[in-house]
Formats: sequence, structure tokens, C-alpha cells
Amino acid sequence: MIQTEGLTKKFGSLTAVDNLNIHVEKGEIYGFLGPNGAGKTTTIMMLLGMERPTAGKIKLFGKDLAENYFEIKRRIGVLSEFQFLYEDMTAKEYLGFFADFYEVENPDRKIDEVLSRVDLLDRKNELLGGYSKGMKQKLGMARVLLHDPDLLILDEPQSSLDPYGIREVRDIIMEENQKGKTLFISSHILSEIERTCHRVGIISNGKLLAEDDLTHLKHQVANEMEISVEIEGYTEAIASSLEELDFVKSVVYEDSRLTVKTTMDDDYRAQISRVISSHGGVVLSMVAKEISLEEAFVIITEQNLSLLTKEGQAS
Amino acid sequence: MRSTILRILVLVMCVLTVAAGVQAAPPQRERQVVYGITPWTGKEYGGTFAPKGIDKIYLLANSNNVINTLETEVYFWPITNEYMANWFESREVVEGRLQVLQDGKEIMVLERQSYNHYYPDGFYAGTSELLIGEEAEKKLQEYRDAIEGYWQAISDYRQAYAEYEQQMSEIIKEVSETGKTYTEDELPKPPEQPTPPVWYATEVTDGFVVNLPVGEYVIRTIDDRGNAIEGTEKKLKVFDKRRTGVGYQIIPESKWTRPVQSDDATQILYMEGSRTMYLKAFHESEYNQHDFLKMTSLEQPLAGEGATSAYMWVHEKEVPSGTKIQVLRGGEVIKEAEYKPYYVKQTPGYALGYEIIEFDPESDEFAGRRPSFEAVKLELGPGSYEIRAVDSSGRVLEGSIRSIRSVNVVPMWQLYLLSLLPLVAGVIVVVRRRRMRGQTAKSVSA
Amino acid sequence: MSKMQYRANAINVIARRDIKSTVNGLGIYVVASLAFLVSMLFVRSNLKGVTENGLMVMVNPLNFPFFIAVTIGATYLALTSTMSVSRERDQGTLEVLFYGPIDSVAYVLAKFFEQLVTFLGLVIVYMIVFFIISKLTNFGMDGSFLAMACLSVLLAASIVAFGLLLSTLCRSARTSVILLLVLLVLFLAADIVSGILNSMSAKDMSVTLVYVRVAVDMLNRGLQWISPFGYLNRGIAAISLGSANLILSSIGASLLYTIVLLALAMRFLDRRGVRK
Repeated sequence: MIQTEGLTKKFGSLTAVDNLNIHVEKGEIYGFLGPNGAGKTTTIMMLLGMERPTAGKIKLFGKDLAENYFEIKRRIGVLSEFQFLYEDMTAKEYLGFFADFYEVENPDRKIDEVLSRVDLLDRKNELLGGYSKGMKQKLGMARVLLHDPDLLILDEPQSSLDPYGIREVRDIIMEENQKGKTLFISSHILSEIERTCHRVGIISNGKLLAEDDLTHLKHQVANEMEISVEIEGYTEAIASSLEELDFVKSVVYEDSRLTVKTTMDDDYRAQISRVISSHGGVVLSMVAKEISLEEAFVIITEQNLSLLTKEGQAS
Repeated sequence: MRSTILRILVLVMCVLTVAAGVQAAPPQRERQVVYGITPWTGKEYGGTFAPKGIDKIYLLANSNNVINTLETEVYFWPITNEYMANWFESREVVEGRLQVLQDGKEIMVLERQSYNHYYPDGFYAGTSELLIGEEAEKKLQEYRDAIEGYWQAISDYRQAYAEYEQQMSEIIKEVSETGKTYTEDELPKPPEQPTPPVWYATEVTDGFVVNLPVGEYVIRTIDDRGNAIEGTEKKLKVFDKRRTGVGYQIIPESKWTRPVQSDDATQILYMEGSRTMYLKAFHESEYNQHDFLKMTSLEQPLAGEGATSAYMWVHEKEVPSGTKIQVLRGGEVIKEAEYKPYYVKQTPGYALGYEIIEFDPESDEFAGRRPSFEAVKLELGPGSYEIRAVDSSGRVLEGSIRSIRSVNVVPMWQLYLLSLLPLVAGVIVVVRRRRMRGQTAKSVSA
Repeated sequence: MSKMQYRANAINVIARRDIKSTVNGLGIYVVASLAFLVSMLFVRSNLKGVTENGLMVMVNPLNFPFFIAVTIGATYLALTSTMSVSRERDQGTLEVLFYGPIDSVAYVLAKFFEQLVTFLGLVIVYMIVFFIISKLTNFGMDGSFLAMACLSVLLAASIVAFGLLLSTLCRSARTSVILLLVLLVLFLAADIVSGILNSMSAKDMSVTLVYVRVAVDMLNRGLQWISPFGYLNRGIAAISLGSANLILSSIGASLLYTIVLLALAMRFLDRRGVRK
């Protein structure tokens, strides 16, 4: 759905995007992450043809953007972080304008439909100048949905929203994805990305450092797994036996809890359970604690780790 | 302090004296090879010259113009900002031929030809013709013959008049002595005084007759061996009229000394109420102002400067006698008037101080007088008209149609009020839109 | 759908929105009234001239007031188009538009046609008002007036294109507006001063004034190819000469000028980008 090849953008001596190769499959939700100034927005602008790449190619829907500019742009819905509206218009007029712009069929029905999806139907005749930030954000979402795009590019779609709004937008993202739509989301709310995205790409200093599904990515980032065991009948022998195992890195007992750190190459919970039982211990509960996306993001971006195996540079 | 002021005053006086001296100093005279130019201006032959400081000559296309290579004394007269030539004391013909080049290639070499000017209506009437070669000689001879014939006629007249006086004195003597009576028919008739020829032909002289199509050229005088004589190379621009038409001079009855002019159809004659006016129509041509003024006043370096993008109409000659002016209203001819002579009679009691009356040469009132002008009189009431000039065969002269309109004096407040209409419309639109918005908001909240 | 159809739709939608916005705002009405009030001063002066002199020859006295009204209207539209591009960029709405199926060609043309259609509406209002004035005063309104009205559309087109070019060229709305006003005043002043100086006889002029005339004439001749008014002048001259070739060539030159300016505006918009 989105494919870039060696995408580069230079502003004078500054390289904002450096040899970027991203690949978004049809029907997936792709999270595009990166710290501020990493080159996310520049990348999105290039994807939309609003910035001319210094080098590289962009393919959207399998077609070259430059050659199929209008056709492609018509199939995309874009939501930016900040909503820029014609404040002298009402929501109905605003969406009516974009309905004409995208040549939407049955515009009135469609406008009501999208406004009801973002819970703004009863405010459709109000001037946009009087809208709150959150309402504007939701109206922006309504605009994106208006022409039923195949690809939704959402830049910080949940910023400025209250928890209800966040949930509404999350629901819309999921609903759209269920309809088979592809979503390319750039967001700082990593918990939302984690909840919605199938795959993520992490960019820092203009370079794509990682691109993978979430589980795999976390596994790649974390070099150990932490297994927390609630135990009854703990003895020093349990700890010693566990420490002798090849895959165990460390064992700590504290407050009736045994924390075992293992290598990431396999799931060793069964083996740990057997060792405890063999020494008369009783396992009350056992939780394998995974690294969060946020932790992975921080690790990748702070250490500038490149996990792109394609390039043969996986650390 | 006082002495300082005195010193300053003395200094100022000295400076002024020196400046005045410099101003009063006779201009520096320089012997130069120049081109004497007799350009055809569309109406008459003019006279100008191109000294060393002027590098481009201007002439009208497809007409005979005369150029002559001469050597004379030239000086610049700063008071009138023009070059002067001392033709009377110093005028030598520079022998040679005139070479004309275009785009660096020679297109013709002209030999000097004899020519003169023929003024069919007299020297001061304006129109003149250039006669070349034998024709010039012939016309000059005709003129000389005519002048000789005139003097002979004068001599005959004087003799006849002397005889007439002799006869009359004898008759008077006889009447007084014998008391004999004579009827008017029996009295001898006085001889008729001959009139001198009005037309005039100048002396025949030599010059290069230049007749070229529109274009940019270079001219130079070359000697027998074909070498250019120093100081004779100049650029030559040959230009043409942009368009022709019929212009009108309109003499208002109320201000006969201040006529107005309409040169083309875009220039409409506006009047207030009913007006009487006198119209004179001219054939005219429109020329580039810069080029035309350069052509006629080449010795004035400032003439035409800055007017390269401006055009001017030149009245060339009056329309032929027999031309009539038709007045149309709604496309229909409502009046046709012809040229008549008019006389401006001073009348102390009259409101204007004068009265314009038709000149009747037979009337005793005008004995010994000449008409003040000849024109077509129009008396028009309020309304909109068109006028046009038609020749004796009824054909409308091209470019002679003009509009005449009498204006209505409208109170300005009406016009200002009209100006405010869009603003009123705007306020209505804005208020309506706001109301609509207000109603929508109310209905939504309800 | 072809590229042109996409563009046509974008132009249509954006131009319609902007026209609606203009018609619903007070600005255009204020400008129309202002233009009439200013032009009425000239009408008044001409009317007074005729009544004081009894007889007066002049080119239709409504032509110059109409030209003034047209210039005011076109300048206002150029200013609004200049400001609207800059404002849309500053407000970010330009960026939002460009998320959709639009490019710089469609956007610049949309702005251009919006102003041109608005101007056409304005010219119709002008024609109605000037027709009423011509009837009230009996100044008359002939074919040349209609021709001038047609030419005024070309003038407006070139002024608007000029404004659009400046708006895409300058970094800020303020700079582009100031530059537009300064240049238009310069063009107009050179044109009018040159006309006045040329109408004066050289005999009545001092040497200094002759040199001033030369300088103004040279400046004006140069500006005649840059200034939108230069193209109008050529059109008026062609109409008064009645030469079909000249009329067509002046229309062609005016259109070419507008096209070149618009093409440059599109190019500058591409280079400058649509983001804040």
C-alpha cells in the first residue's frame, strides 16, 4: 500500500529523511514512531507529494505518486496533528466543501453519517470558530472519513482529545481497519499505537531504525525475559538449581516472589515450574513480563539501535 | 559683522557679474558639414537642418523630401535650446552624391537634382508642391513670365489710367465751359487694376530628392571616388502616418476666439443646453509625436524628446469646397449645412461684445471687408446627435463621424447616492446571513 | 478521470467556495461603493467643465472614471487573492487542501478564476451604474465603452495574476501586499504622469521638465511590458485605431502576460510549499 525506496529529503546541509525504506501492507495498521524532529512529518509530506524528495521513490497503492497524483490523492484521507479549519463556515458547510472537493456521492447523507460517527451531528450548523480543540480534532476525523478513503494517514489523531474522544477515535480506527482500510498512524501516544497497530516503524534522525510487528520488535529489543513467580515453600536450593540452568541469567527472591530472568530465545516457564516443584516449592502464579513498546521505543531511539535485518545490521 | 556682510555682498555681485558675463558671451561658432533638410510634413514643406550634434534625421515615407549637404557656421543658442546656422554669411555646397544604406548595404546613390517649391495659393497659404528638374524650371519660368506680365499689365494700367484721367479732365473742362451733360454710359470707364499672381515659385536650386519607404537607414555623402565625406554619416528614420481622418475645429459662438478641436471619433463634443457653433473640417493624419517633431524641428535637440509613445494629429488641409456637414439624430439626417463665410462684428451693446453674422460680399455693410472665417454653422438644441462630413457627391468622408451630446446637469447627491447602493446591498447580505445563522443556531439548540 | 478533470473539479469547488465567501462578506460591497464615490469625483469634474465652458470636446467622460473604478476593483481583488493565499498558508487550511486531489496548478487557477468571476460580477454592477449615470448626465455609452469593459476583464486578469505571483513569491502576506500596492501605484503613476507630460506642448516646458518627460517616458516604456496597465493601454489604442489585428495581438499579449505570471505563481508555490 505504501512503499518507499531510498527516500531522502535534504534541506540544505540538513538531511531530514535519510534513505528511508518503509513498507505498509494493505489492510494493516502501521504505527510510524519517532521522537520530535525525527523526520516523521517530512516523510508524510513526501508521501502526500507536498514535499519533493531529494532522492528515492514513493509508491502508493502500487503506483508511482508523481504519475498518478490525483488518482492516488483521492484515495487517501489525511488527518494532521492540528486542525486548520475555515472558521467562517459551519461544520456542515465545511464538510460540504470537502464532499464537493472529493466528489462524494450523496453528500448530505454522508456528512450526517460521518458527523454522527464523531458525535458532532447536533453541532453541524455551528460556526467552526466556536468549536473546541477536541471538536475540531473530531471534525478533522470526519473530514478524513467523508470520502471513504482506502488509506488513512493520521498524524497524532488522538491529541487534544479527552479519554472519551480517544476511545471514539480508536474505535473508528479499528472499524475502518475491519472494513479493509489501511491506516498509517503517527503518534506519540504509544499505548494507543500498541493497542491498535499491527506493525510499527521507528524513525530517528531521519533514519528508519526498526520496522516490524510489535511482538517481534519487542523481542528484538529486549535481550532477556523477566518471569515473576509467586511461590510457597521457597528454599535456597530452588534458586541454586535455577541458576545452574543455561537459559537463566539471574534469580532474585524477594517478598515471596521469585524473579527469574531468562534469555529471549524461548519460553522457559514450564522448565522453571518443574525445577521449583522438584525442590518442594509450590507455584502460586507465574507471569512472563514483556518489555513495553514505550520501553522498546526509548531503547531503540536512545541507543540508535537499528533492527533492520534486511540491511544486515541487526544488533 | 557689517564688513562681513559687505564682503559677502561683494562676492555675490562678483559671481553674478561673472555668470551674467558667461551668459552674455556670444555662442561659440563652428564650421560644420550639415544636412539642410526640406521635409514634407503632410501639409507643406518645412525647413530644418542636422548639425554635427544630431545623428538622426526623420522623414515621411513615400514622399519627396530634399536633403542637401552643406557647410556652414553653426552655433548653439542656449536661450531657445536650438542650433542655429549662419546661412546668410556662410553656405557652401559640399559636392558629392548621397549614399543610402539599409542594414549595412547600399540601396541607392542619389545625384543632386534641381528643384523648386511651387505655392499654388501663395507663399503664406501653406500648401506647397515640390517640382523637380524641368518641371521646376518650367514653373519658375511661368512664374517669372507671370510676374513680368503683371508688371507689364501694371505699366499698361498706369498708361491707361493716365489716359483715362486725361479724358476725364477734358470732359470736366468741357462740362464746365459748355455746360454739356454726359450720361454715365458716355463717360469713359476707368481701367481695371491688374492683380498680381497669387501663386509663387521659388528659385530653382540643387539638392538630393529623397523618397523612401518606411524603414531605418543610414545616409552619407560620398565623393567622386565613393569615399564617405567626414561628418556626413547620419541615421535616417523614415516613418509614416498611423492613420488618417477628418478633424474638426469647432468655434463656439460664445467664445469665437477659443475654438476647440475634435481629432477622432472618440472625442465627443459635449455642450450644455442649446448651442450655436461653427465647424471647420480638415483632412488630418496621425503621426508619432516624437518622430514628427524631430522631423520638423531637428535643430531643436529637445523637440519630441520623451514623446516616443505619444501620437499627434496634424491638420493637413481643409476639406474641399462643396463639402457639407450633416447632422443626424437616431440615424436620420435632420439637417445639412454648408460652408459659408462669416464676419465677426463688434457690437458694444451686445452681451458677448460681438456678433457673428453671415458675410455677404454684395452687401454695402461689408464693403471693403473680408470674412473673419468660413465654416459650417450649426444650431443645436438639447439632445444627442451625430455629425458627418459629406463631399459634393454625397459620399461620407471617412473618419468624419462625431458625436455631439448636450449634458444634463444632474444634482451630485443623486450620483453619490447611486454610489452607495452596493454598500446598502452589502449590509443587507451580511445582516441576512447573520440572521440565517442565528435562526439555524436557535433551531439547533431548540 | 483525467488529470484535467481532477483539476477542473478542484478549481470549480475552491473558486465557488471563495466566491461565496466574497459575496457573503462586506468587503466587495464597500470597495464597489468606494470605487463609485472616487469615480463620481471625476464625473462631477467633467460635468462642471462642460457647464462652465458651454462646449467641450473630450473622450467619453465616463471612460476614465470607469477605468478608476475598474482599477480599484481589480486592485482589491488582487489584494484579497494575495492575502487569501498567504492567509490560507498561515492558517494551515492550504495544507489541508493539499492533502486532497489538488496541485499548485489547480490551486492558483482556482484563486485566479474566483477573482475573475467576482470581477465579472463587479463589472456588471459597474456597467449598470455607469449606464444609469450615462443616462442621467447624457454622457453616453457607446461601443468603445463596452470594449473597454471587456478589456477591463483582461486588466483584472493580469492584476490578479500579478497579485498571485507576489503572494507566492513573498514569504509573508504583509510583504506581498505592500509590494503589490507599491508596484501598482508605480505603474499607475508612471502611466498617468507620462500621459500628462506627453499631452503638454514641448514649447510650454522647461528644459528640466523635458528631461523629466524623457525619464518618465523611458521608465514608462519599460513598465509597459511589466505593468498590467500597459496591456490595457495597448488594447485601448488598438480599439481606437479600429485595427482587428492590433486588437487581437493586444488581447493575445495580455493573455500571454497573464499566463506567464500564473505559471510563475504555480512554480513559486511549488518551490515555496504549502505548509506554514
